[in-house]
Amino acid sequence: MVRHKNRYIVIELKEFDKNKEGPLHIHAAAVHGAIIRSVQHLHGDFGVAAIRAGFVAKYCNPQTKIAVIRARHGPHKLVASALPYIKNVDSDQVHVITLYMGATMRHCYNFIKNFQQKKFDDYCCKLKTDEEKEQLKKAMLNMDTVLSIG
Amino acid sequence: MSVYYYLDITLKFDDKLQVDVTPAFFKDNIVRAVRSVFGEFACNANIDLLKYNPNTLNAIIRVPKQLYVKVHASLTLCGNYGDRRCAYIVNKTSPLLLSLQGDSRNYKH
Repeated sequence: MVRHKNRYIVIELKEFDKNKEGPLHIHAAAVHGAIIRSVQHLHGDFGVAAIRAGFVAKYCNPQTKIAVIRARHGPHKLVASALPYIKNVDSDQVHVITLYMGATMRHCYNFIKNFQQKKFDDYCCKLKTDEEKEQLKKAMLNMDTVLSIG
Repeated sequence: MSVYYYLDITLKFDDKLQVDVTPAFFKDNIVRAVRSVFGEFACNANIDLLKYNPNTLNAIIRVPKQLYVKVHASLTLCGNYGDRRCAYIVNKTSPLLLSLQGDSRNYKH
């Protein structure tokens, strides 16, 4: 059996409208579709065919607006080059920021954990009661989707 | 070695209807084919139509060396001109324009 190398890319979806705050609810399939469309535009049928195998995109957390992409090593360059050209996901106008690219799920997991912890600390300053903090912690540090990629 | 590659190509239609294919439309169809297969990234380079015969739909195009494989692949995969079915036949390719001159492949006895 031949080993397949993968690359995991952590992206952040930033809303075009900067005044808008709060969670951004997007379906995971919409992120997947937006990336495929962007690759289709930039790299054509060849690009889409190259990235199709082993391509997974999951939207992880509406609070921190993080998504994780898994792509095969090699065509991951096509995915990475197409990410900055994404203008909208479904009907939401967003731009994509590549936060991290790693070779293992473990490294990505650690990165996301630190990133979300940092965001959580920023938000925590505004909250007063422990109950609210606990609730926010539960929402922001939710890693179930990341773990399901595998 | 040359920085360009030259391709001697012929456009063939499925039906026998006679159509006027202007040089601009001919080139547009080639660029479209490249864009559809390899996307916007492959379209940055120059594809030049050097010689074109509208009666036989035969043409000689010049492409940069690094794009040659992509253009050749796109021409092979190209299946339609507008809404008509067509095919490109690549008669000969060479990095030297002069070697397209002497071609025994199309020679009729």
